[in-house]
Amino acid sequence: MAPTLVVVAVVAFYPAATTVYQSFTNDTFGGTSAWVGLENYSALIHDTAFWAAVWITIEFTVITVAIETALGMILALTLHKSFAGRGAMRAMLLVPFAIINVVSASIWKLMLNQSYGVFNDLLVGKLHLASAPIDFFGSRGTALLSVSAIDIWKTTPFMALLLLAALQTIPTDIQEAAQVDGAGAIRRFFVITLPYLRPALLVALVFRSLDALRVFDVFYVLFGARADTTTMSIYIEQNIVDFGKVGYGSAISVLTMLLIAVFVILYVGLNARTSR
Amino acid sequence: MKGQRIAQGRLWQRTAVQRTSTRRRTPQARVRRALLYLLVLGIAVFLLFPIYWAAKTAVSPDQEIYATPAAYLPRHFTTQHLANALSDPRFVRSIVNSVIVGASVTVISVLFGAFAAYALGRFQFRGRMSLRYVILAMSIFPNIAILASLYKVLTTTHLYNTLPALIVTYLIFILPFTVWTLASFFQQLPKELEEAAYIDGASSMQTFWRVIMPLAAPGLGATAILAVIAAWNEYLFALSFESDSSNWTVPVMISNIGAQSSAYTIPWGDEMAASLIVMLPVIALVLLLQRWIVAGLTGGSVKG
Amino acid sequence: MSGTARDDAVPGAVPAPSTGPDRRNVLRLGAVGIGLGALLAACGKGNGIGGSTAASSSSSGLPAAPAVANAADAKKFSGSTVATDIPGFGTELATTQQLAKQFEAETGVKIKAIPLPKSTSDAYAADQRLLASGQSSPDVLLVDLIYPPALASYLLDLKGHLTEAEIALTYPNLIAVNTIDSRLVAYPWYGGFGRLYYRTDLLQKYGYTKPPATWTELTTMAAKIQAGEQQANKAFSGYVFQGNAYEGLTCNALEWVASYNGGTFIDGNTVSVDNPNAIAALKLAQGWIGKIAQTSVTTFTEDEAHSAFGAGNAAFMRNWEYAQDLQKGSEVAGKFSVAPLPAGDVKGGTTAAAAGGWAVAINKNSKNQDAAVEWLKYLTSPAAQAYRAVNSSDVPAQPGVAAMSEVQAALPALKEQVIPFARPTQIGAKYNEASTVIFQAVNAMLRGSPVEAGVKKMAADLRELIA
Repeated sequence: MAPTLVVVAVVAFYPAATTVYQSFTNDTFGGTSAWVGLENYSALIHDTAFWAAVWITIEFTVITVAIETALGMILALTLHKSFAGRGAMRAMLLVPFAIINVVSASIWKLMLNQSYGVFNDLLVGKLHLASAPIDFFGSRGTALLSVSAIDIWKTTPFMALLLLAALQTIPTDIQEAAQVDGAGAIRRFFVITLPYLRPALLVALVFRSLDALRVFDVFYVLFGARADTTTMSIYIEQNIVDFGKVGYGSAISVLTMLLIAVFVILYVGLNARTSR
Repeated sequence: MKGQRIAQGRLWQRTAVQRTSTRRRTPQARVRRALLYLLVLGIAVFLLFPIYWAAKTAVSPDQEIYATPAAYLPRHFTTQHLANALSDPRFVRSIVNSVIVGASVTVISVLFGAFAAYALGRFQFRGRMSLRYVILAMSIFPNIAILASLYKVLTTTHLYNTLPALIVTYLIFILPFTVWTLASFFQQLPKELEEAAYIDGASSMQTFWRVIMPLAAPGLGATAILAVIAAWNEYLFALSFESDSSNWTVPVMISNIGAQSSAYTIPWGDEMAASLIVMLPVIALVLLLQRWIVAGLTGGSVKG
Repeated sequence: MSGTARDDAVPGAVPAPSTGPDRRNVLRLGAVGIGLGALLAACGKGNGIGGSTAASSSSSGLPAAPAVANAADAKKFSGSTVATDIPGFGTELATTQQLAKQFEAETGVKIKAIPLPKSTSDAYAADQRLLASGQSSPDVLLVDLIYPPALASYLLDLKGHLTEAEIALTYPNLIAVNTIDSRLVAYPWYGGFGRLYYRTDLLQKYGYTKPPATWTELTTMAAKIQAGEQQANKAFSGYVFQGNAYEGLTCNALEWVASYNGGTFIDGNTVSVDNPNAIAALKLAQGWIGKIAQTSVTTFTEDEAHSAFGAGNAAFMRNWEYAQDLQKGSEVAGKFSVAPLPAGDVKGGTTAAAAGGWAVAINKNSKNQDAAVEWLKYLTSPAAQAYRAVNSSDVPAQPGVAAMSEVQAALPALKEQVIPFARPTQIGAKYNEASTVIFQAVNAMLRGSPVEAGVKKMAADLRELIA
């Protein structure tokens, strides 16, 4: 066990160490590299594009994680009950998750298209809920909501699955006890079920947020290098690859990682404070 | 050791059974059941509509995608896209590659994760929490940020352009997940279990395999499924660390599919056909693993 | 079910389901079986290294590649292996594989083919990684027209390996773009210029006899046609082009600005975009959105424009020559034609086409430089370019080849002369960043932000960049 951990740790932390080192240089692709101390970081503080990227990534994370948790919980509770076809439903749960990320982004791009997308066809042509086809990706606001919807569709099953597994481990005698006691379903949920779900919920929240803060694929497929939908990862990619500014890009990476770490610490701290 | 819990359980169970059996027959319950089925139906539509759309695209000629008004059913059914996907030898090869990588990563990460989670979750030792956080810290790096250095590591160790390259690098973000998830499941199990087993004369390992693991089956199943899918879906490393098309995994292959396409066209039908075909192994695997999740259900109701 | 002492001691223990293992085992065996079967099938189809023989079955529909003119020279290196990038998808992959096969057969030099990812930026990232780490393989690289400035220091100077005559075969401005610090780092392979596609049937229906000569004419014609067609087809729009925030928009914007005699954003070493002509051009484009182009055109790449036009939902389209493939099968087959892009309605206005394309380069660290050069010579030879023009619709980078009758028959758009404009790659390695500034600013303008202020900021940002 220990050797495996060592190997993986080296593979994981060596790149991180290199990145930190490079962030203090002005390394450029095809050019030279010299130590510049904190110059990259001070430039970053004033880089409006960077802060725009941070902001949109955080907004995306908050929206998707909140909705995915709520929906995931509803799904898990529903699938926990026994009904005909439950096995099939459970398998179906993973279907959105099983489709390749870039493909799912592509199919949604087709469905949300302004001229020939099926959603506009439904809204305007069939259900007459809108008078003109909606451009789902036009402004920053609608683009963010659209991309969030796509991510929610794809990743709610992740939350649902973890929560369902956690629900399955709750001893049913406790649940039945409360039921007999006359407690309403909602009270039962919060007082009995939720404490049991807490550890799994925390893990699910942490890892979902980690993934959301590092999001790249779905934004890139849908919007490319558009200024108002550039996430932190896309901004890193742009600087390191497209612009060849390895030093500056590394500084962005380091700040991104610190930001993500802050989120994790917040979660864990919140959890520690509210349990017991 | 029969704990007080069992005695309590028996008492509750008796009264509960009485109460619930009468409850079930009220019209209130019937309405609730109907609403439940409605909710289930809504969920099914929500989950499956885009898949249906992908399937429809896979069996229609590409032009129908842009037809207005939208075609809800294929107007000209065609199997050309499925044929294109299956006749590309690189495609089948990529499924094999993905299965190899996914299976290896999952087995390693779940096994290792279980051991680690057991140690971290059930034993007290100094530095326990810090070790947990160190493991978590492995997954705060955006993949793009560590790409160049990983590339250097792989080329130096001659792992570049091999499948083990992916297995090792995927562990970076999958291992923390399995360790933490399984730790949370193990944490939930009552401490009396180990004490009981210990009294019964079981060693640590025996306790681990015979007592803890079966009980954590739902967690193991869920974690395994999510690990497989995370490995299956990964695109950036798979693209960057494999230069031979015989080492491509499914995501990379799908983005390069289309024997008739040019640089600027996206072969939608071929892509959708390929995507749906590759979902089959994943769904098969999920059906396999989800039995473990179900297994936990019948626990708790069996009282001595 | 198991009813052992264990159950009593451990509440909630999982009773081992007696049916479980059987079903699980069956499924397991099935999965393994599928896996083995697939593995055997894949091996059976003979996956060669790098797929060089992998798609031989799908390329069997192609005619044999032309003979190798420099075979005598190349035979000297028989037995060595040249690792080369090849296009990774579609008909281009097939034709290049045929060329590789022919070369191997005639010269004995083995070609190890490395397929490129479809996305240009993925390919660029891959090149960057391998060159930065000093890898000697691949020996031969494919580079987009905008890469040489950034990659120049890692590429071999071809002037020492190609004769003057060979270099003169190609368009001079393409040579200029690929020459950095007087080193010719890449030899042009295939090209492309922006063209105007128009619906001949709709022009006739609305009383027009020829395609628009100026942008103002296009705007009027598109408006009239759109108004008429939208009554029956709500998805119809007058003009589709590439408006997404990516390199393609830089090409479109270059065409607008250059056609208005507004320069090429950065002329030589000076930022020139803040002039009234350029502003007029961009205002014109901004005015199209919502009038003759839908707002979603700001998310269009070549593919979306191609599809919209191909589905019969547009009167005019700007795209590269490849879009002529719509003649072979689409809603508009036989109903459209190609013309040079319109000129700006100002003094000195001219038709302008952005120059695109790919070139072949050699890795400076290659251990097989001479063999690699021979492969490069064959790949870019007039015969090979003609072969690819006919069989995978790649526009030749040599005027001599473009004039050949079979090439003109396969790509009728080549009959029209264009006035090409190159993107400002002369500024060197910072081109990508400059292009990003340009396309992000123009995309914002298309989506409504004020043009004058936007141009002023674009110019300031560009000046800061190249300072």
